[in-house]
Amino acid sequence: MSKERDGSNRTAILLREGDNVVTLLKDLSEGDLAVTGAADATVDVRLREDVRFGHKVAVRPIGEDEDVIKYGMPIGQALSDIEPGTWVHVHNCRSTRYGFRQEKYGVHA
Amino acid sequence: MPTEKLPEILGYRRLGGRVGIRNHVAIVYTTNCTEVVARKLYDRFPVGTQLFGYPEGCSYRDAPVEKIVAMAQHASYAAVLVVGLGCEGTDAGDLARRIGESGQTVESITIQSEGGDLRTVERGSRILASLLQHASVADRAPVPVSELVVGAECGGSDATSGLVANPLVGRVADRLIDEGGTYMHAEPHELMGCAGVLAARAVDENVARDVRAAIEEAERESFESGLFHIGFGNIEGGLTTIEEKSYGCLPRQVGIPATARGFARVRAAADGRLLSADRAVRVEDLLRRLGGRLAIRRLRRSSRLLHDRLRGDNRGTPSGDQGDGESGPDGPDPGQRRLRRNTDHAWRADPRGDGRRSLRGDDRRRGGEADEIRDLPPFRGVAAANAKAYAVSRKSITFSVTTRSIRSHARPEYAAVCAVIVTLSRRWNG
Repeated sequence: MSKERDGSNRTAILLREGDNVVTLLKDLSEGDLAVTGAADATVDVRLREDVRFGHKVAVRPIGEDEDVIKYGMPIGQALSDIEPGTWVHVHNCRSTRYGFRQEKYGVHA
Repeated sequence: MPTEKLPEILGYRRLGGRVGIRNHVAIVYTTNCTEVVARKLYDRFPVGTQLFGYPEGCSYRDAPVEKIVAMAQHASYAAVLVVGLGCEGTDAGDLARRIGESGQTVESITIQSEGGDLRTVERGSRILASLLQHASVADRAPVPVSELVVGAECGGSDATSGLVANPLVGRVADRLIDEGGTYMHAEPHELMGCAGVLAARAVDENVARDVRAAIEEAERESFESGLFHIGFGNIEGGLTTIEEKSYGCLPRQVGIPATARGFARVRAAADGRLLSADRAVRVEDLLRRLGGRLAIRRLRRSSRLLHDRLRGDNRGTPSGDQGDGESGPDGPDPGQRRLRRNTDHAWRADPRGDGRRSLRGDDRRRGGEADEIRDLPPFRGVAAANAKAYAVSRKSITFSVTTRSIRSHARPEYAAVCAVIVTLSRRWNG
């Protein structure tokens, strides 16, 4: 098992196989590789922008209105097409069930 | 997964078959008129006592009183002192009688019978001293974990809650249930969006219906009030939607949340719905029906430390770092030092306690003042948001195992403080 795969240098976590986002375990910058240590190396993704610890990054293309999947569950819908390596948060994802947009929070993310 | 039986733990067997793992004396006031006197008593006996009571005036309302009775019957209390005024709807003698029905040791005292505040404090002090003595001779004995009813309560979700803490809680809950213990999951608001997942895992259709009903009601309340359980701190921390937060709240083990099984067991044991219109009362009611057996959490040491500091005077920082050295009631262990240090961070981020300077969102909108929080530890957004909750409530906190119960009828800030403590502890206390 290579170092990349044994998890010792992981910088992100894939919560469930099939998720289309991963959660960062440290602050990463544009161009950094988000390494999950998951069996499926294809979820490792190079960041297209700076993303902070705890935030989510798309690991597969997510089309507009498509579900964002974390924990194997749909946590919301994409507000626009999201490329792999892109930060996923209130600016491009909203709750499916509760219909929030970021203005509701007063957050200008 | 290890499968050996969990060891017995040390607990207190009380009259009436109740089992607790703490050994405190509760001071209970029957109206806010007597809170001041009860607090004086509490201040005179700061070690081993906890304070709570009826938060309103002359009135009597079933729901909060039932809750108080259930709390006071809790086996983690060796004894209870009820402090009344004499003319209020929530009669001290009656309250004491109801508390005593469980076998609980209870005394009551009223200001009007004693002839004033000072006399009440004097006589109350004597009673308290004897109750504390009564508590001090209680022996701890090994009790099986199947005797426990453990409640899980939220505490400041951030992106790591769903990654680490909640799955761990889920595993513990599973083990507990496997051994015949009882696990309760509070706050259906925190499960909004999870109704389908949870209901699908319920043991039978009745439980599934209860789960769905509880969560749907929480949704209805939220839509009506416009209040949803996701905040700046959550969003700064990386949580995007209610669903994301909720799924993170589900304690999980290999895809089977303990909650559904917990629902089932509680339901079977108590023959009632865990979650319904008056949720908190129901939970307490269940505890009472189950014999007042204990829930709860392990953070009291830390909260007690903070509490002692806060109650003392207004000098220095919350953890007293301008005052007396490093030793708390439990000695200066590294976890506590970290907790205290970080509490001070939060304090400094919002020294006035109006909360405005502690929210990064506000700072950003106003285009400045972010310097104040730049030196906070990681998860800055969450820490800052919690600083607000902390500061708001620093004048009136009573930490205890009953924090959750108090929350719903009177003082949400209690719960907010608890959330801060839990968050800080979870993060830095290892």
